[in-house]
Amino acid sequence: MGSVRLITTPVLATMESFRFRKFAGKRACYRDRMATVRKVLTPLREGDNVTLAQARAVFREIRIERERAAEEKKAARKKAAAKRK
Amino acid sequence: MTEGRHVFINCPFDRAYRPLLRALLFAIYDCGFRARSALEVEDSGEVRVQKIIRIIGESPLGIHDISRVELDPSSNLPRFNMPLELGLFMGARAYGGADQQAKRALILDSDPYRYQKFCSDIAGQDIQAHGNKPYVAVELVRNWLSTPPTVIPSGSVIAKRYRTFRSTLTEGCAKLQLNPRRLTFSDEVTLVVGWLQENPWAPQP
Repeated sequence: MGSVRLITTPVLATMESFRFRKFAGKRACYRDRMATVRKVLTPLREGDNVTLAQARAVFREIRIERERAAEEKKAARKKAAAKRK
Repeated sequence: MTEGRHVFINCPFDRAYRPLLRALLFAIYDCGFRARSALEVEDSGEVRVQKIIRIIGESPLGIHDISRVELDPSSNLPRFNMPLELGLFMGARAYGGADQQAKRALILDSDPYRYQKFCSDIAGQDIQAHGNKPYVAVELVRNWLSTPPTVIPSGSVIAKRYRTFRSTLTEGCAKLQLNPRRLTFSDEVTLVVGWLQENPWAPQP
């Protein structure tokens, strides 16, 4: 599999659920969902059409990363202020 | 037959104009409207002017930017596509049925009153100047699209959101394997709509 660029949070959650769930009598469902995962994991090449879902997933990832970074920065600032006291 | 919230965009699509086009698209979609353009579908089978006429017929609103009529350095001739499409839009309004007569247009230029030197017949219309500044264009589009009873956030709020979108665009394009300098019209629309769906504006509590 090529470079993995489009693993989104819901997809990761789906993959995690595969690992820990029992699939007795749910093979078709498992296959369908794995096909979706494979489709999302296929790397895009320049010039490929980007779907709205892919664009949303990427912007969601960026938003979550930025929010996390802002929170970490805030916590670090708080820690530094507490240290000064 | 016109579609309620369709906005026909009549503007150049060259690289120099790209920041203004992106700002116009963002403002249109953030205000809850849909942008229409001759470039929305790549279909070599449809004659370009027919495609433009069809889209104008379907759009009750039109944004016409006539700021790029300078002489082309290679041919030494001006570009007349934008004034031509503005003429088609005004013709539809003048000679069309009731829904066509209800069309509204926003005419943009880079400087105020400059149009009087090259297109004096449109003097008397309310023409807005964006000064080639994307954030001014965002505010102009917002003010034009905001008609009672619809409430749309102020132009400055949309401009701030546009700034945030711009700051994520390079990273987003890299993740999607897109070259930000070579985006097609549909790429631009997909990115704008994708970002807006992930970052909807909501009233502050």
